[in-house]
Amino acid sequence: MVSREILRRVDWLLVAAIGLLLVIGEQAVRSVTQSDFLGDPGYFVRRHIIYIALGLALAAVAVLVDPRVYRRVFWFVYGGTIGLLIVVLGFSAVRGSQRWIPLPFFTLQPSEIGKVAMIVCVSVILADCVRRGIRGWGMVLRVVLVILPPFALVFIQPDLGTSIVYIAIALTLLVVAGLPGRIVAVLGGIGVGLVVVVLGILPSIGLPLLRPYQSERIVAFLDPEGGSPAAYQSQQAKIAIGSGGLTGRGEGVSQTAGSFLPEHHSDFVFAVVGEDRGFAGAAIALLLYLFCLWRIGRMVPRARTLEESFIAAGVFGMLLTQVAINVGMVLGIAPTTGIPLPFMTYGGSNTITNLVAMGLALAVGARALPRDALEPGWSGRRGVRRGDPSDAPPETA
Amino acid sequence: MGEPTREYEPPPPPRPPGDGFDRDRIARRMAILGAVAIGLVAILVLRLWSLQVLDVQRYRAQAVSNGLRSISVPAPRGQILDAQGKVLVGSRPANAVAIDPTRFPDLLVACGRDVAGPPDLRDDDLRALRISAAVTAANALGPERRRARIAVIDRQLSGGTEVRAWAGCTDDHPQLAELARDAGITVASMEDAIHEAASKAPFDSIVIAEDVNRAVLFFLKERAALYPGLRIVEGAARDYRTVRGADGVRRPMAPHLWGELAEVSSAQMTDQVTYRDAEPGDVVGQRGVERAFDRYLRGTNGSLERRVNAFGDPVGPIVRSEAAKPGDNVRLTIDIGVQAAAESALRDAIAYARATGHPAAEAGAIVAIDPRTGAIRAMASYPGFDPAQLAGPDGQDYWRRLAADSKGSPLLDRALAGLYPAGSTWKPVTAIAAVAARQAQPNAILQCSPYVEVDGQRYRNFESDVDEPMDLVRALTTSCDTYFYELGQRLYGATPRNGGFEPQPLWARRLGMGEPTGIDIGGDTPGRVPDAAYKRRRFGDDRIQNRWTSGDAILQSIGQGDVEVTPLQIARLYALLANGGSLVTPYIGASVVGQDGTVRETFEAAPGERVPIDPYVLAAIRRGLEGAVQDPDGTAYAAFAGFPIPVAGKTGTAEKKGKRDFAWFAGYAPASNPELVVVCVIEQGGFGGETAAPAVRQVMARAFGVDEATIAQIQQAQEAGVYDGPALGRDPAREAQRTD
Repeated sequence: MVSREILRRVDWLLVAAIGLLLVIGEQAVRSVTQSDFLGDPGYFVRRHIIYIALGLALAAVAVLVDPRVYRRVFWFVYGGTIGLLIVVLGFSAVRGSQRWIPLPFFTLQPSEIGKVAMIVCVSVILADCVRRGIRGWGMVLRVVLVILPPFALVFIQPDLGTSIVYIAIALTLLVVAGLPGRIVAVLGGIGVGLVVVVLGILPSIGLPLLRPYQSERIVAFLDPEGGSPAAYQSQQAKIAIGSGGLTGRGEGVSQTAGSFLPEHHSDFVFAVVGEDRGFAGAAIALLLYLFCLWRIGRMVPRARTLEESFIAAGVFGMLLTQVAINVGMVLGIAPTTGIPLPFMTYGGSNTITNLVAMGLALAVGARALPRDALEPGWSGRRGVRRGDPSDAPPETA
Repeated sequence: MGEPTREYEPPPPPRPPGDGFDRDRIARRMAILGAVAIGLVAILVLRLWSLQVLDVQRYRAQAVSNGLRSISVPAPRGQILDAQGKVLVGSRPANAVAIDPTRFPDLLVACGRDVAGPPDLRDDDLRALRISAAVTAANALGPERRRARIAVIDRQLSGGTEVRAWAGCTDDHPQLAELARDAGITVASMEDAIHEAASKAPFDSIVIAEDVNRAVLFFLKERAALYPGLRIVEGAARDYRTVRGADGVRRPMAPHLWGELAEVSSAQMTDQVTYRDAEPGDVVGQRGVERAFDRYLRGTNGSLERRVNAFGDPVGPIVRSEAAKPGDNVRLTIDIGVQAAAESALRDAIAYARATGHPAAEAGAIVAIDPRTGAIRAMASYPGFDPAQLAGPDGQDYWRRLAADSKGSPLLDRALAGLYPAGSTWKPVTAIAAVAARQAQPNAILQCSPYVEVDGQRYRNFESDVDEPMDLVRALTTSCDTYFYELGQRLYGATPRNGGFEPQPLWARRLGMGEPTGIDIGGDTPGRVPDAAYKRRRFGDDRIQNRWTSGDAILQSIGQGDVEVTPLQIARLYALLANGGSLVTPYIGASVVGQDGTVRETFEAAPGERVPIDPYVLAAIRRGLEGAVQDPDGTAYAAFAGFPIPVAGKTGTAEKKGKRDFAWFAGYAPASNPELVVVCVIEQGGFGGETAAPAVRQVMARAFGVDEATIAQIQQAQEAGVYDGPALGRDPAREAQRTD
């Protein structure tokens, strides 16, 4: 009964766009992993579909749970996330970093779960700030205090990409929460300064904060023909994308399917879309992401509560950051960082996390005020009122 | 409209402004973020356009060349033939034990692609990646198997120096361990083979044991049901000719000559003469005939061009193909019959020596060459080994066992590289040097006394009861040592005081001692001719007794002291005596014959180097060598009694410190117009005339088609005094001459 009402109000256009992106991703993973596991062409894609199903189920749960409960449980969410991030450091390193907790069927990546947890926790904290009238530096300080421990734990794994996503989520939420533009500018300046210090000054005085492979990737980004391992990867990605042309080369062609491009089913899956489906397919995928962002973004001002509004905004920031950095990396205009492409990259933790995040956004949307219930002026259409007035709550002054 | 419930409430009335939810402000901020999103996506789409639409030609060309690979098709190796065209080393179909990769998909992941990385990955990075790959693979397993796998990796890391990420990767398939055991290989080498194969062409069968023998093959085929995924793959292997000895045992023929095959190394690739046009991955000869004629035997690889993935797995049809051109056959100067006779003569001689009070006799060599050209007719070294086993599945172990046998040294080709004191076979060198240095006339008569005393040191004659004057002919016939001691002493006296060349070592070198023979297959050692410079190098010149003394010259006059020669050098010396003074270059390769039978190239014998030897001394030496065989007082008379073809030769019984006497015989036949020189040395075999000379007779009998029955008949007739056949035994004319 209740669920039916919620389901009626779910943004089915957003669901459809996510579904389309999942299908595009599944096709790419299927086409490219057929010879990755000898004797079992369906090994990866079968797992991928299981992760998607699991993610969709958890997303449905997230839609049905009233977001107001997060206010009461966010400290547990926060504490649990920190706990997992500490536990993961105790497990053996894979490819030089400690990101995974091995479970019987699945390796858990706590830093992915942390993305959603950070959205919820920072939203609750910020809503408190706004209600209590804490603006400006006070708000920044509280957010920094919340975000710093998980950020540090992820950074030392080391997982630069995910820690960047944490920062991006926090920054998005600060902007939406009304942080004065002056402070946003100062924060931006501090960010640029940090990059200069970490990349330029610290290494030159013998205090390298980044791991060798991280600075190698940045060097590779600045010098793509340089022949370093990272440059090889990004060069192969560009060849894959570029060879796709306007309409693509079809599935199973040499570049990505032939494993010239390592990580073709994970962080570089967009290169497969570009090679198989060409500019047409890749651009459609990008526009679908933009469509999703629009559908999420329009929920933000209409959300029932401040917390819910911020949750939707956090999901917006997370999705935008991941898409922009991942696709930018594949296209060779951003350095190589381990950020997955939402809904497409093969992998349990990130697929489930991104779908749960969408579930959160849909939950907010399903409980939001109808569009015409808003006072005029929020959307640039001042004075325009549509719909049945009786459906809308009474207007306030 | 639903009813208000706990979980869903209709939108509440907008809050009073006090709760801080300023929707207008949030909407404005969201609009800014929306603009940022649109801008970012626009940048990405533009970049996509530039890559995919503007630069498509460039990237597509790169992608196509990325995916096409030329695969080399190995050419069948040519055969090695004997002088008559009989196959000495051929190719034969070989069966390899393989497994079907599709039956073990998990195995290929476990053993297989190590780590995917760019080709220029550093070693330590690769090592780290391998370890982490092994750990990741282990983590993907259930808890119990994971523990077992991790234990294997730990063992590997703590115990082994080599990091094999794939160690223990077949643990989950106990039937494979059984298969490995039954195929006669270790589990580790099977895992290595699977690993190697998995990174190359995992859709093909994975060969785990090459060239297994028929017994193993039948055993496995009978039990095929026990080994799921077993495949028998046909390939090619070298087929080494064997010969059945008198004892009925089959032995590989001339194993030392061939040399093993192995993948070409990068250092070898730079040798564009020996390994002309070799490509990486080619199998080339490493030593001996296989190496010397590799450029003819190897052939030209064919190629296939096909679409492959980054691991080189074929993923499409063949685009272009070029057939492999088989290698040419190489015909040798070796004669199978003479070679077989040499090998059995060597075994017989060693057996004889052991049976007649020389139990230490265990090794030896025989060389037979044509004195007119230097063509080698046979070259045998004992003990030998089995080259087929060396190329077989447990070849590494076999090689280690052979190399560890420092006493027998079966890998050493004694004919080419065995170093021995020359003993009396050296005496012609002393005579030539003495005449050339004008220290003696070719017809000089000297006293053959029981001993010579020089500087208080007594140098004894081998025969202690002889004391009579002799000429050079008689001295060689009876192998009188004191005659040559006298010549050695005179040669010492002729040494220029200003530090010039001493005549004896100088002439020894002119006669081919102390230097490589220049044989076409290489592998020979120069040996040693001691002189004053050698003594200085060896002992230092600060003490007077370390100088070159008359004692050194005396010892050298009978091929002792520190003289070291190879049987091939002695064969070259006797070829020179036989052909009248020309130092030939021994060779074994006769011609290159195409697969269609046409002769493509003939290796001409290098013209012999004329050595200016006094013709009178040469004639005297030859008469002396004839006497040694044909005169009843000759040291080899008994060995050749009844042999219908006149032979000339010299025995040697060489002394080596700490060893029993080494038996030598070097000779040629027919004595008047020599066609064949045969040299035999038996380590610790006792008297040359007793042990080595019969072996040479055996080889000559085979080479000239004389059977033992004929020899026995003639011998009986001689003893009865009724034999009047041609050119045999005591020559009445010469007898008369000598007594004059």
